[in-house]
Amino acid sequence: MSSITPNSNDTQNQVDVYEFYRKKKLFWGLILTVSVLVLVISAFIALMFGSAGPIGPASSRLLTISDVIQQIIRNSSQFILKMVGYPVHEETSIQKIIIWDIRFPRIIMGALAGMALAVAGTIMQALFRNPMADPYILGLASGASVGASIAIIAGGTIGFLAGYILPVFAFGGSLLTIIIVYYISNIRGMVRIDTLLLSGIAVGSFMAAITSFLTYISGQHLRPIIFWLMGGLALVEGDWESVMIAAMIIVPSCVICLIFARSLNLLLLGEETAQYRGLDVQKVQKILLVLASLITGVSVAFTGVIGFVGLIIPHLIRLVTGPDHRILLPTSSLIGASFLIMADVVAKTVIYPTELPVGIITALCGTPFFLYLLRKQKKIGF
Amino acid sequence: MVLKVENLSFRYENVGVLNDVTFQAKQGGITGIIGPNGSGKTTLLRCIANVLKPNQGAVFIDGKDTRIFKNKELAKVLSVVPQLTSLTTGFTVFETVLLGRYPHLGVFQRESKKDYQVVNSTLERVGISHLAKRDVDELSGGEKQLVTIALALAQEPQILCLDEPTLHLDINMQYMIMDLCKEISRDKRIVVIVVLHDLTLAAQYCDDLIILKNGKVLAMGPPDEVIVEEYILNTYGVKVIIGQDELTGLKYILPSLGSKVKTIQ
Repeated sequence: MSSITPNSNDTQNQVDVYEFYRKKKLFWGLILTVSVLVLVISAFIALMFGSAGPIGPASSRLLTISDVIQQIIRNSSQFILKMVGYPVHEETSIQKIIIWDIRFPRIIMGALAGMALAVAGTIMQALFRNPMADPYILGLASGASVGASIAIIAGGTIGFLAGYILPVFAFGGSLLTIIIVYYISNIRGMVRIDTLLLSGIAVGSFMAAITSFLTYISGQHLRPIIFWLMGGLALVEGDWESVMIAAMIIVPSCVICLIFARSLNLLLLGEETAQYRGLDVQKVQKILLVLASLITGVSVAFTGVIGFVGLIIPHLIRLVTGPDHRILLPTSSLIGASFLIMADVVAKTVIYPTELPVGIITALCGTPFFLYLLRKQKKIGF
Repeated sequence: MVLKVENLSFRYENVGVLNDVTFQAKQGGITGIIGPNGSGKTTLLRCIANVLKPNQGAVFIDGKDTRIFKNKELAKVLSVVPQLTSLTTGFTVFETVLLGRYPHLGVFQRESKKDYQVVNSTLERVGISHLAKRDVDELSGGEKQLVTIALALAQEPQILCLDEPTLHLDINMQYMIMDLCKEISRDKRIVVIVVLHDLTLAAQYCDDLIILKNGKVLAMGPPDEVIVEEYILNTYGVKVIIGQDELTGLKYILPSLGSKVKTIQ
């Protein structure tokens, strides 16, 4: 047995390995710090941006930078005080309304949706071991579109749901789709991941056909439907309640997904190999599918179908961090959030005063950058 | 450490794959499983690893029924090298083998220095320390097979099962892998079970052999008793010449020309 000669200086090699991993941990820390900074800075820039100033396309300089900072500090501290049950006196000023009531929820929703889509995309790519996988691979988006189209066409006739008709119908549509897809691929209690992929695509196409039909006959509702299909954050502008609902589902789900980072690493080796390492593959796959579908469904329900983020952000981050999900997942979520916030700023201002669907911006800005990185690195870790 | 398989039967839907299989594998030696394609060898390994639930019978490790083990507990005792592991992950060899520590780590636990040491000594044992920092995508077929064996060994199992570990490898690598199996079984005093297609390798390396045919044990015992013309003809439908090297006493098995006498059902 001599085709491979063991290294003679093994002790040297071991020291190397420890050093290598110490550096790696430092690198991870650095990446996370930078990502958090990027998110904070993006959110801050987005808060500044708008027709009322201090930065923005219009000439009215209603707000100054100090106004913005003052409002952030005052309102977030009041918000926290209110949460712990402390009575606070709320004043109403034009600055507060613009910054805290209108811009803030939109930015937080952008962050939540970006986070959800990036995390769901990372998980789907790992579960299907397919670089083409994205959060919508199981037909969620098409299902949600059917629900949303019905809600838009039906208009305000379903009174008891009040302002939530659209998100509830959209979420219902994606829930229905995922149940059908899961039911089809569940053969005698075993869910095979490749069957799931195929039935997801099939059911998705079917749902897309229904959406096309609804769009075609929608008449004067055509524009809102199209806008929703392309995705945008304008839907939640000034709507703190929706943002809180989304946050309560998306944030904890993403944290739970992080716990499964090591299991996702194992799954990259193949289901059988992962099983022999002691991983309950079927159980982990089920939990992660449910979580990824849930956060995708919620994000779609409130913001429409924002494409691209869930596909490209995980790949982009993988180019930098490598395939280890313990760093890939948190970094993707932070950068996904920042990316969507910034894309929304562009969408709001690029052809001011008309607002573009953010989905157009995400694809237009992100794709060339991603392709450039792909060419440069020639490897995406799959 | 003894692995006991008792009256094991398994059916996929309506197709019986294993039928009343009973055998024992002891530590410190290699138990080989041979038999034609589709005779149930891989299914047997999956049943032993508790990945497939047998319809009848059970597997016992030192008298303990494997069904009562939790996944991670079983993985600390028993490890399997499957035929196919997709090592196209972008991880380094070290990181890949570190994944083998999974059963020893709690959900929130990070790898400790001890885990790194186990991986280091495993790499050294398998002879791939020098590849530690290489990307697994870049390795040759033989090196990849060594990595998957190291991955299984990093679990520190008492029982190691390998499913056709010499598949697609050149003759040097084949013998190297089998030497490694032999050394591991002796040094670490663990049970090694190997599924093989190469009868010569089986005859030369295994301490015990089991012939599976249509899910049943056709013969069992030391290679001298099992590798005989009659059984091979009966199992594979091929006439063979079994020779012995005068110097070393090692056996070799050759198919005789025009030897295919019947199609086995």
